[in-house]
Amino acid sequence: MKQNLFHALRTIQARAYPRIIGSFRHPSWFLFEVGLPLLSIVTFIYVLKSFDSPKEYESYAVIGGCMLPIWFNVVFAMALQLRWEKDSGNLEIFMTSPAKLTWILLGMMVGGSMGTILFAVCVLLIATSLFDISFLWVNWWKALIVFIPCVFSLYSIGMAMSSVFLKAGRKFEYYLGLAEEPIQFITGSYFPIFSLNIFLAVFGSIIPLTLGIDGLRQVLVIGDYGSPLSWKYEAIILIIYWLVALKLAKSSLIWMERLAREEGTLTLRWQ
Amino acid sequence: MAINRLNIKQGFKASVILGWKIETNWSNLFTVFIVKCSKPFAVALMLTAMYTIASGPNSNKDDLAWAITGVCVWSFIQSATELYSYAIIGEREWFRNIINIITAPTPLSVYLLGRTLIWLPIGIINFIIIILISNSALNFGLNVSDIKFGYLIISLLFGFGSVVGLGFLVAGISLITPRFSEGIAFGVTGALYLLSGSIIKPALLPASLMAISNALPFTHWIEIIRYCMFSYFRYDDPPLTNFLISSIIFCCISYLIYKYCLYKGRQSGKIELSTMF
Repeated sequence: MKQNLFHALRTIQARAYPRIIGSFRHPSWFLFEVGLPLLSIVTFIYVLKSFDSPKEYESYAVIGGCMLPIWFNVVFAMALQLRWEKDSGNLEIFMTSPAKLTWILLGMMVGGSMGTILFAVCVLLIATSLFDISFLWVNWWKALIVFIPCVFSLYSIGMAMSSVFLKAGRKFEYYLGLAEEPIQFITGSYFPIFSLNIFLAVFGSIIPLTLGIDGLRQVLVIGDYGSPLSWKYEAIILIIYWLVALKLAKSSLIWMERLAREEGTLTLRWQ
Repeated sequence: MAINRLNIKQGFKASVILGWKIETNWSNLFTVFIVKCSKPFAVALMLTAMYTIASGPNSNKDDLAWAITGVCVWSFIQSATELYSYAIIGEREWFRNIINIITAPTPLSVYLLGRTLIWLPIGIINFIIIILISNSALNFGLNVSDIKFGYLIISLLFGFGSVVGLGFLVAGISLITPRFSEGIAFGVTGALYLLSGSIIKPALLPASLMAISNALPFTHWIEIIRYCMFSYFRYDDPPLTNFLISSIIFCCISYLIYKYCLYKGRQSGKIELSTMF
């Protein structure tokens, strides 16, 4: 048991390390990871200005915009990862090594989330200083209660999606276009979705990002923020979400591995 | 010379078919267009949501119509930019085929023109769907009799030239960018979203950004399209001269940058080097 745990921790550390170091390997990556979300935030803040919106809506847009890099990292660097490993020939090494695939994915989750959260913080700092936006930083601990389960549940979904992507093949990558602007709309990244339509918001809450953004807005934005669900309940839902997604990820990985071994498609590239 | 002409014609035709097959072979045509049209449609929905819940007392529906028309035209720019960049990345990194394309008798520029031509039907479908749905759902007051079709078609055609110019610029930069070439398309579209006057009025931008915005052909192009579509945007003459001058300069500079990048890539001998992890 002790040896297993030690082995798991070593695997997680080994897989997290290149993700953390790799994030800072090229200065251009930092520029893209911070610059692109920042451009989106700036654009939508100017849209809000052109609509003569109240100032607090700019804060809502900044919070939502800062959470988006985490979502993109989940989809493009977590869910797609096993497919990339398969195409680059690493998957067979992963499968034949004594390390479990779940530990490897947990390592990716730890490494990926640390790098991305740092980028998100950079985006937050630059955006707040550019537009002179203030937040209720005294509520930082409440923000963490919402933020941590939100990030964990998102990455757990990424783990579950990775096996689906691996099984579904190359054509599924085309659907990733739906993970960008359409997701920004249904999660209410740049506007409070619960104020628009409750049914749409409930539908959007299938993705934990919606609840995470909503909870963070409740605790951090200065001024009244109307939401039908308190941030405390949202945090509890996110924790449940995380546990369910983790269980789902484990089962889907086992299912995918068994199916792929039976069909002999596990190491078949370009499919 | 005769062979060259034949190659250009045949090469263009073959690359159009190839581009179509690559972009549409993963599902039925309906699903392909739903996925391809989802981005600008979602942005139009976001703008409508923002206007519905966040607009202040000094805002009116014309502002929303202004932004949504911009999104309609923007879909041409977005799909073209992504396709040109992905064509280079796909051939170099995924299919490992770029060296064969460069050494083939058909010039790379002709191949790229054909390979990415699907941006045109995607953009047109986006344009029509978004403008029709938003006009009927949000009551923008668009009358077919008010549309200046002559102006609209001519300006669209000239604008497509600038879009192709932008595509070559992005393709050129992608040719010499290792590892993160995918980000080039996102970076260019992100920057132009802010600067091209598609959803943000240039007058709202700081002076330096406004100067860049006014130097871009897309700002004037989108403004002319608005002028052609809606009578209530005809408060001034359309910026035709600015559009033509900026388009010509932009296309020339873009093509020169593309040629320079292609030359540099070939000179360094790394043009076919796949660099992504």
